[in-house]
Amino acid sequence: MAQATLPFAYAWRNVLARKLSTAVTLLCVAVSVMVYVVMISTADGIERVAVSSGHPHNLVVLSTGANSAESSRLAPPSIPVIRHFPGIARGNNGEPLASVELLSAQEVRRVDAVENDEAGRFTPIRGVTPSAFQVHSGSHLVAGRLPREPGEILIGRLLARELGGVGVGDSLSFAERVHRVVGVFEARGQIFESEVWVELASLQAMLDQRDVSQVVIRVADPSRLPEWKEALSESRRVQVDVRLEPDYYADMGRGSRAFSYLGNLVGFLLGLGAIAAGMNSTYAALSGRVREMGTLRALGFGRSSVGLTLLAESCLIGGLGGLLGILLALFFDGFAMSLMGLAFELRVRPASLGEGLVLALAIGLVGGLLPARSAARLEIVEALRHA
Amino acid sequence: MTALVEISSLRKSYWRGESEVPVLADLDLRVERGEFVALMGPSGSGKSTLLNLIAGLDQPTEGSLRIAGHEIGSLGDRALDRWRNRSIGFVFQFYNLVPVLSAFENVEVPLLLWPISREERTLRVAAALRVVGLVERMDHRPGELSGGEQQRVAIARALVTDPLLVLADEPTGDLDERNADEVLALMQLLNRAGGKTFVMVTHDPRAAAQAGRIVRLEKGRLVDEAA
Amino acid sequence: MRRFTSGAGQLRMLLRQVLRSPRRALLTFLGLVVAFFLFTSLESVLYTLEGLLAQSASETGIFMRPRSRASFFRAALPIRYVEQVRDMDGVVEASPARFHFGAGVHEGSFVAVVGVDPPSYLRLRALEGVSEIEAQAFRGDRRGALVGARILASNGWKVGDEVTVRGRGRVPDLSLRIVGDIGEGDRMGRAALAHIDYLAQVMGGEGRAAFIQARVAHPSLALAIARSLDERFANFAVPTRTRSERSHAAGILANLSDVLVGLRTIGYLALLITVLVVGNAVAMGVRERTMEIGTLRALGFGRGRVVALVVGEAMLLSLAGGLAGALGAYALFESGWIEVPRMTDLRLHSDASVLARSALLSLPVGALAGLVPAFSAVRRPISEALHGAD
Repeated sequence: MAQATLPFAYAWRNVLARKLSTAVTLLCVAVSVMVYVVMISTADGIERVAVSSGHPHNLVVLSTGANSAESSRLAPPSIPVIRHFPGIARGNNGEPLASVELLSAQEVRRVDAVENDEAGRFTPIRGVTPSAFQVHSGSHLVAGRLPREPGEILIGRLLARELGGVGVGDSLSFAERVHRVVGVFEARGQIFESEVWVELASLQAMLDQRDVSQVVIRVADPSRLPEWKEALSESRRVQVDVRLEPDYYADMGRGSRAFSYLGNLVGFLLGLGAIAAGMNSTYAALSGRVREMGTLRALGFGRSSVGLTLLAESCLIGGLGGLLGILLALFFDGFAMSLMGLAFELRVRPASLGEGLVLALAIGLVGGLLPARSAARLEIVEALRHA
Repeated sequence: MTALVEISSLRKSYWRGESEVPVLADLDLRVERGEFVALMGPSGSGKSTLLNLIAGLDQPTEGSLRIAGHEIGSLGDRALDRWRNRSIGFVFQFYNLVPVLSAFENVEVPLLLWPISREERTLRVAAALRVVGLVERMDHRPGELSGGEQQRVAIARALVTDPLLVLADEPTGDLDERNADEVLALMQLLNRAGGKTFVMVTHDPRAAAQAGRIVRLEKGRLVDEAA
Repeated sequence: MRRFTSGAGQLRMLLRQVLRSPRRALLTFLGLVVAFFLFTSLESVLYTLEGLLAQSASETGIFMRPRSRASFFRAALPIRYVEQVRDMDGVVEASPARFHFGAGVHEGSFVAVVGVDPPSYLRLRALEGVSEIEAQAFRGDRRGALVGARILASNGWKVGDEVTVRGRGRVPDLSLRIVGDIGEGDRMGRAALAHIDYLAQVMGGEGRAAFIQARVAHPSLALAIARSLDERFANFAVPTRTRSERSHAAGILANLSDVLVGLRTIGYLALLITVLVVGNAVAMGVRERTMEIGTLRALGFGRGRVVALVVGEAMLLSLAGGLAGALGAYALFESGWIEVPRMTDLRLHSDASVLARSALLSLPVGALAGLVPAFSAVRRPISEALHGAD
């Protein structure tokens, strides 16, 4: 038996024929898909920073009991002990690859914002030494130079964008004074890109203290990582907690999971709305073509072919809406956002787009099922008598 | 030779709750090959119901309905679909064309269920359109055709499967005088020169005049026959 | 005709129009419920976030910290500053505080202890869920502590217990006697309050505080007093940095602003979908009733009346679905069922104002949705409509 289904062209042309109805359903589907993909991409953006931050061979050395750099305090005497701990890798000049750092969250504002008394964002300020660039692999200057004098600062790429396009030569205000940006650095998407980096000594002077927050060290032999981690933790000469740097940043992943969850929920709810709109449209399409369908049945087409063509129309509209939705979502790729001091970029992955399309087709399928069933159950004689 | 359509003791009823409402009662009818029969009668007389039964669109309650020797009253749904596709051509009052398909594609629809190639379909469709004289308009959609043209497309669709029988339900009901005449002339031609058997339901006496035989129904029964 | 001009009659007519196709009405209603449920949920989340910050920032509160801001948690302010702060004109009360972080009963559990000076602290602000008896006990017992309900629950402690907040590593343990519990809704609901001098005795750093909180007589004074205080202490051993609590909250809000904007946008997109869904449904109804509308107009119903009819139908649908959806979201959030685990340990809730705002928003949304089909209904000349042309 030849094709028992109605040709695709029939479904396609019917979709085009009901312009307004199709457009409305299409828009609803597009909005659902777009919101879903954008939210998942937000989660991915946060996740990416969390996952990519930290070098697998780095250890973060904090003071005992501190669970973050903010609450960690290492006194000056402990620094050389940590820096000269055996097992630390050495740089080209023979110096230990140990980045001594002081972290402080400050309210950072552009100079003009200060005049307008606008609130600034709480941004991490990291006081570092030149070895920071070696320990935090992937970080390097993309514009300007390293700070030479007090008052000169470096700014991460993402933070620069977040603050509205800050560049070399611009000034920022924090900790009661004005600082000049002399360089912009990038760090392969790691969290450092949302920070301000200054000379360690400058920050210590600004905050009037000689303590530091942490020392990040690179271990020479990765296979002995657990060994060195333990040795340092148990050491009697310094009271420290030691963590693997990637683990330390992985905690940020928590935020991304919230967004993932929210994205699924919102996408689902909006999808339900789109299903309602789609079902209405498809029922309307059916009621306008009852006689036509009766005729097709009279001509020999079976119940299922009539039902299937209506279902195909619904899925078609869903699919088109999905395409529009993912196109709109793509606009947001690379969009800079910040959450609680963490600046990141929205990341639209092909997989997310695929999921969006699946959502769209599901909407079309579910929305078209009941009307398709009604179409299949039409009785020929009554249908032919219909207006 | 057996008649094309042999109906005996046909009964069709509908059920309203518990009570039976008969629409056709104890009907006997024979239609020979090549005949042009008009079914007439007041509204409610059951003429449309009779047509639906002959078309295989409905099943009789009781009685025998044989078309070309087959007892179609006992066929199952699927088989009936198939039989209808091959054996019956339909002409409706409101043409019942698909608005989103061109004239050509409309005529092609019944053939989509056949296991033939695209080329063969095209040949048959073109032939049918030629017969009704609408080859030049074959790419137009129904919305771009006049009522008379649309009905002729419908007739082409009815012919394209080379059916045993063409059933027409008020074919001139929606047409003005001139177009009605044209359509009826076409049907006459197909009957006389082409040997196609027609059964037509109508209340238009002019249409009936074209037929070779007029059968009258009243309250579900045959009351009169005239040639 | 009178039937049509009476209010109840018109309402009945509207209802009949809407219910003309029960299936369509139901689907549209469901779409509306979902959209308004989402909108109200998002508004509730926003309400919670903004409320949280407003709650933690009283308008008359000011906050003094050491200028060096080495660490928020380090006790570097001399407690004797408190006297001078209190002496300042316009300051109603001042109280010092310091932090200690320890572990609870289970491995990895976390207890935040805030050391305060009970008399001045209790004068400064009222604690939710703390009775006068408990407050008195707290004042009187040097090792006494008021502990947040959450902490009590997760550690299996109760009022009256002698407990230990374990210190990490070389940090000493802190033994406390629980004399009262703090309600979850309070700012300190997730912390434990202890005596500041007892804390200093165990941990070291006597005579120091991490920050000093104060209350001023009137919100308009907050900024000026804060500045004066900083001027006064500018040349002392530990210079200060004082701010109104409000501006501190504004800073946190700025950090969240992207998220807030995003949530608001999604909410409005949900409303957009509502407009489309309702508009489409009403348009379908109008299309079916071309002849009927033509008849009405032939009978003397003016354009305005027909528009009102169609828009009325849209608004009725909208209100029904919007109310149901908003109520659903309100009920869900107020039931306390929604929690955001771990990330910020937030308890999301809603408010009657959110419910009212969302529900009422359904009316203009419905009106907007009904406008396009309404105007297309009256655009057609009457004779054409009577013919049933479509």
